[in-house]
Amino acid sequence: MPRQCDICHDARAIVRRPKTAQSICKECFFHVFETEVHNTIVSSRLFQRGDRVGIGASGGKDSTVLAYVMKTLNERYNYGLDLYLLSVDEGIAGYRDDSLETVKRNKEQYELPLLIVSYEQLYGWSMDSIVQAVGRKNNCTFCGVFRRQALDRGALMLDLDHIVTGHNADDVAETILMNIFRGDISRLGRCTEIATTGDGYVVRSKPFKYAYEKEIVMYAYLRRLDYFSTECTYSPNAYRGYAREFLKSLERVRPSAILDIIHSGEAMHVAADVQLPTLDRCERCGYISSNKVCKACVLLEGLERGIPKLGVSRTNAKHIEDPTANRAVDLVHFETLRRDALELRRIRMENKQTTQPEPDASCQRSACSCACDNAADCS
Amino acid sequence: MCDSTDSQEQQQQQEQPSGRKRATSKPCIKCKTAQPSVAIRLSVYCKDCFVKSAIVKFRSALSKSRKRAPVSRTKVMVALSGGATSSAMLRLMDDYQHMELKGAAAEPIYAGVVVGHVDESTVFSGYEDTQICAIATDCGVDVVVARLEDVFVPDSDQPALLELVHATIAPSASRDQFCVQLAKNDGATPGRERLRALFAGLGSATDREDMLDILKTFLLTRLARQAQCELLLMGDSGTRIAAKLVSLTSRGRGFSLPLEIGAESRLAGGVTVYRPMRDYIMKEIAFFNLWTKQRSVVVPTFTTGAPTTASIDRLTEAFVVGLDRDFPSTVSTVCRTVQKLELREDALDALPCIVCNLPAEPNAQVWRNRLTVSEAPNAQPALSNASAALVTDVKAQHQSPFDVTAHLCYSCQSLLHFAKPGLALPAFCFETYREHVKTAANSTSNDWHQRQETLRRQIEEFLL
Amino acid sequence: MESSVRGSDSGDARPVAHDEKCLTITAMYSGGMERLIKDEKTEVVHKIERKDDSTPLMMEEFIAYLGKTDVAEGKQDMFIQENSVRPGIMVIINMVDWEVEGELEYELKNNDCVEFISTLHGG
Repeated sequence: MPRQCDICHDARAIVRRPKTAQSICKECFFHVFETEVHNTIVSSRLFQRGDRVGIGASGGKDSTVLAYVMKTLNERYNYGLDLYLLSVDEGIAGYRDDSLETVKRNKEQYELPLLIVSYEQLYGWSMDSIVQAVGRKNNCTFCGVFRRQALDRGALMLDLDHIVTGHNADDVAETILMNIFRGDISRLGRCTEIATTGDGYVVRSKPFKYAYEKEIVMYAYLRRLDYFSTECTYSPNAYRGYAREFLKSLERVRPSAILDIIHSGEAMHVAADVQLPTLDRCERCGYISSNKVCKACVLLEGLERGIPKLGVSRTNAKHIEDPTANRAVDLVHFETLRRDALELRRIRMENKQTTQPEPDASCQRSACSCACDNAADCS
Repeated sequence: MCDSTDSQEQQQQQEQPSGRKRATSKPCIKCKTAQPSVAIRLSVYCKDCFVKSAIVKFRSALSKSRKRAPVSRTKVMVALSGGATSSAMLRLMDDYQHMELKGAAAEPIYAGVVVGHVDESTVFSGYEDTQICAIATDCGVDVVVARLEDVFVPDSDQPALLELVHATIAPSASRDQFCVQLAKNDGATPGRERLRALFAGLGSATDREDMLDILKTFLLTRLARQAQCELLLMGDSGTRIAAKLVSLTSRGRGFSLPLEIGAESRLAGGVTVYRPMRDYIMKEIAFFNLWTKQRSVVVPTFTTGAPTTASIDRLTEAFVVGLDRDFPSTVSTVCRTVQKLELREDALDALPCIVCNLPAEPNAQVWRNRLTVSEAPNAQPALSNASAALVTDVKAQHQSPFDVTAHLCYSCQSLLHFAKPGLALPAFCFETYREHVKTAANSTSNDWHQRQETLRRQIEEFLL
Repeated sequence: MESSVRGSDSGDARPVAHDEKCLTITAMYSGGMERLIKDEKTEVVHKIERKDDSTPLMMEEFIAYLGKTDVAEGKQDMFIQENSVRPGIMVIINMVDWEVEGELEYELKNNDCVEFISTLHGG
């Protein structure tokens, strides 16, 4: 006997929500999923009107759904954001080509401008060439470090204010567990923050922080969204693998564990007397780093000098002469990127002022994510 | 999206699991001469050096705790479950007391040692309390015992219990609602029966183990206070603390966990807890007991002998122990993480949860509700009327149930959510609630005061 | 490899030789492990005959053998994981930590005593 939706009591229920165990119809599922993301965005005050926001797009389900939902909510609640797709090409033949094709299709489907930056173009090395040089061990270290910087570089090229990534609740819970297992107290204190500022030059946030991975898949499936779903060809980090396995077992014992872990993570507080690394600027490329030379530069150093273990294991590089001597590509310094971005901004402001802006009366109180504390100011 | 940004070199060394071991040809790492008999993490020790360093480790743990959370020259209560760790701890503490006597200082640091034990025989068969008392008398130490069912013994001359009427977490209600009512606690129902009913009424083995921990901590703290011990030693090994960090995190107890597993915790009522066994992994304790011929028993719990998926505690224990096998410094790394966590500022001021006595985070309900939408786009207030109607219906049958949601921590809300209606909570839950109401009555906020007055009238006959 | 679980028989004193075809090995169980053993025995003496006395009996093989012989029905996976004992179970050979003796690579000798102690709270 077909079951009625637990929410609207009207349409037929076709899906059981992992988060609440309700049996609901398709339209109600879309509504609750989208509204929850909207609540997250509003209560965390993630954006301001006019923000230029880059959606980290990998072509996978998380980023495709993110692009779709961001666009939908931006229109429905009139956030006033300028949305862009920002994609990183690591240079993994087969895997990345296919997922980039998906991103290009997303660009057409969602009508959002797209910028693709590649490791090759930025650093002079693709993942494939890195794996050739260092083998299959530790390649995840390279990829993770390079991607983070690549996104920030791309964001500055477009003069963006904000990057959103598709990290979901499962990812956040997994990261909390992983940081506990590894004893990484500084990351443990930061990994539950929904938005990180000053970590690079652009604010980075995760609107899907409280969305279950299963529900994102369901959403993509029910909305018939186009995404690419194969695992990276290179194997994942050992500790994250353990954390993932543990999380899956835990979910079976208690389905709410994912949110419970996030709740705990948010409540944890690092003792005042614990030494946390101070952030500085890399002396080579100007990127944020807790050391004199940032991780990416150290890794590149090793690649270029044929010491692939540099920055990966405890190999010491003695007598570093001119590090740029053999460089295939000149790394653009972050100060240059910043300067260029500010210039773009200045030009944009000038163009705006030549046309009279219309007073914007469309800010709906319920959707107002700008900083007005007093609701009366927003009518 | 793969986003590993592992940049610590140390982690790189540990990322690959340690391979199979070969017989060692190295001598004891301490005396460098004797043949080793045990390997702890990556070092080997001979029997004598191992036992000596175990003793030194205990003393240094105690003195560190004394510096961080000093107590007066008081009596010490050693919490003894009879298990391997607490038995080892008793032995080490007894040795410590006697050691100090021989030393330069004429008097021992602590005025005396008393063993506190909770008798769980009502709930678990095969319980060996004679053996446990023998472990204490072996050391020539007095024992005070509380029975688990003592949590239902009325503590004042107008006793009452809180009985669960209705518990729900959204989505089935428009907001979380935990309603309880008062039941008389005149001793007509024996404590033993109430205790069994309490556990039987909880929804899962995880919740039962959680409740058991809550009851034992409460009873031990009370025993310590009654014996005039300002200091209570709890026998949590490093292995246990590491597993508990993961387990408490998984249950949403992050807000209060420094009190549950920290090296030192100051509890209400003037009792300070030290955990001096935090630097020992289970293997060290087992070898210490083996070579010092220290007796211990196997302490039963709800999931003894059950598969790892039986409860969150079992799962995390198996997991941490398994991870430690592949990455030998896991337990010590995780324990170091515990030491770096402390209570948040709002936890220091927060009222204790009426069920677990630990600080209750102030907006647990709001947090949960914000993340979970369960209504149709044009939700009618009818839903909130429905829940009001529920309370009214219940009112008709019983006398004035009331909402205690704000007095519960996030994790205990889950615990009660899965519990059966009719569940009678231990006496201290009502006592704590009464304290909250009294404290609130002294507040100057008018609206709030009025609400509290309404509540107060409901429980007036029980207020002193 | 044959074995018989017999109590040690004092009248059956055979000379202890290193390459003895029959190995007498005592297995002991405590710390809650006994609950996994048939009849909840805490001590079981094994007399193991080696058909081929040139191949030593390694711990790995011995553990697998105990899993089949001593462990009660349906409880194998509480004792054995993959080719070794479950994490949390300590193994002590003649009062020495098996990690010092080479763990699974240790070669059993006649009259060895192997203790299994569980350190897991859940038994």
